[in-house]
Amino acid sequence: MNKNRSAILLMVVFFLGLGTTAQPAAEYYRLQTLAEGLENPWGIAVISNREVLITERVGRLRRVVDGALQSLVVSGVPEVLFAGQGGLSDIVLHPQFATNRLIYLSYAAVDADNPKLSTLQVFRARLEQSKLIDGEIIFRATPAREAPAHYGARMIFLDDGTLLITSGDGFNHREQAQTLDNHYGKVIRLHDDGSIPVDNPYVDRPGALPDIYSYGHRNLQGLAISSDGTVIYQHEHGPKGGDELNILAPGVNYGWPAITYGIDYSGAIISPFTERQGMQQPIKYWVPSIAPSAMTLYQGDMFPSWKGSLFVSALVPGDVRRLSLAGQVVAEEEVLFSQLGRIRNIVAAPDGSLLMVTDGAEGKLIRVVTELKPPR
Amino acid sequence: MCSNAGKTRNMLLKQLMSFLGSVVLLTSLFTVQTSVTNLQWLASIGMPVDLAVVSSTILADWVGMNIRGEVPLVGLLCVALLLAFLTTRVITIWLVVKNRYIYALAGATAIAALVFTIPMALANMELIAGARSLVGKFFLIAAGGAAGYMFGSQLGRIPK
Repeated sequence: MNKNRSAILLMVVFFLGLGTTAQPAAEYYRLQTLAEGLENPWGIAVISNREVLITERVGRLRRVVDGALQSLVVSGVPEVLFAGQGGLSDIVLHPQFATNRLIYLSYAAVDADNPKLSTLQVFRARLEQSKLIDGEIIFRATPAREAPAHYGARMIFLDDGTLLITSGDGFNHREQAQTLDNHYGKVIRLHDDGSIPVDNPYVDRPGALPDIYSYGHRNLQGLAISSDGTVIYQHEHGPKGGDELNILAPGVNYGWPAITYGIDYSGAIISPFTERQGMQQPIKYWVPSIAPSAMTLYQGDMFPSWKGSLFVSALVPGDVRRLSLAGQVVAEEEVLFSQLGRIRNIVAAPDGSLLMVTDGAEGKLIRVVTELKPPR
Repeated sequence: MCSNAGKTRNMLLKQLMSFLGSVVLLTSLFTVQTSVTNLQWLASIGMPVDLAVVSSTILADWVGMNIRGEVPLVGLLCVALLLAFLTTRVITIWLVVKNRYIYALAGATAIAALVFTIPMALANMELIAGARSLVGKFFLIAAGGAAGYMFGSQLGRIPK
């Protein structure tokens, strides 16, 4: 009887062993500081392996060419409100940038009607050498917000050529993330010229803003898209705890602030509920908060075992989370680059290296490249 | 001599207890108002807010706002009321007004300063959810008044 039990146990252990996937070999990497002295860097757009554009929240657009920060600032950037969490934020290149030279900038701006208020705007212009020309505002979030906070301001182009823009809840207006008559706590979908796609989910709903793609968000600063263009990943800051990673889909309510895994900064319960029918659950959440600031889906060849992983930059305590995905489930989380402090953004370059900017008045542009031996 | 010292000690102890009582009252009114504000909105969008949810949230907020918040609410209110009541004590040396009224005014003023200066100091961000509306602000100011009234009333009963 005992012998039989032992044999069964051995077989179970053997088959469990066969089923275990071999852990990928650790990637050895080296960090290169490409530029220093960036003032509150926020957005990164990679034009090529040689040229990168970086926004500084103070309202400057900088170029890094062949690893050197150009002293000449790109001109023609619109006037921004540099206050609180606001300022010049994200930058994305048009999918046909090589031929049309169009770039998109998101930023906080003073409200035209009431200078005490501010709003999120998106500006489109053509980049000619170090100048922006033919600039126009293609999106303005309404209504304006009281506090210069929670703008969201992340952008990404989808495979169908439409542009997604994240618009945060403005901190003081969280309940309005649940209604469709405003841009607080929403993802917006537009054509590249700012016009509204007719297949947006609320185009025909009376009282709803037709540019809304999804709602029930807090302060969303991460967007990434799968290589086949079918899955959109989005992350957002929770309050005290409750940062979320979501799979984004049109017309979906992500629940903020009716359901949340976080509590208020005051220690109060924002909602005692964490789930509700009709409100989408995140695929991952963080308690305590990591303050996710940006995200990229790695598809490069420089780090083979990282291929298909999501890289989430984080401000608290300051690191990058590599999330291995098994389908639409986060299978594993690895903490990387924790020696760098608050990391504001992370993107992948065409050569497979990763580019990051650190947060703050003395921000750095850092490149992650492969190393044959483990770092000393 | 000893008897005088004992009387003074007793008086100070009673004043301290009155002060702590007013802080507890104010903290409780603050936390309940925050809970009710949040739950009222949740109920308005059809979330299942029943009596059990209300009572557990009020209890959790009372603990949470004093322990888990960025700044313990009880400490913040304690400092605000202490400054207000000490100032009032000095004023009452020259001004003869019924304790309960002048301390009520002091409590209300302290909380008014708090609910209006917190957003000013934090780029218009309202950290106390219940203070985001004008009605909410007035409720909290009135709560400060109630705490001051309670302190002033008890002060009048303490033999000097």
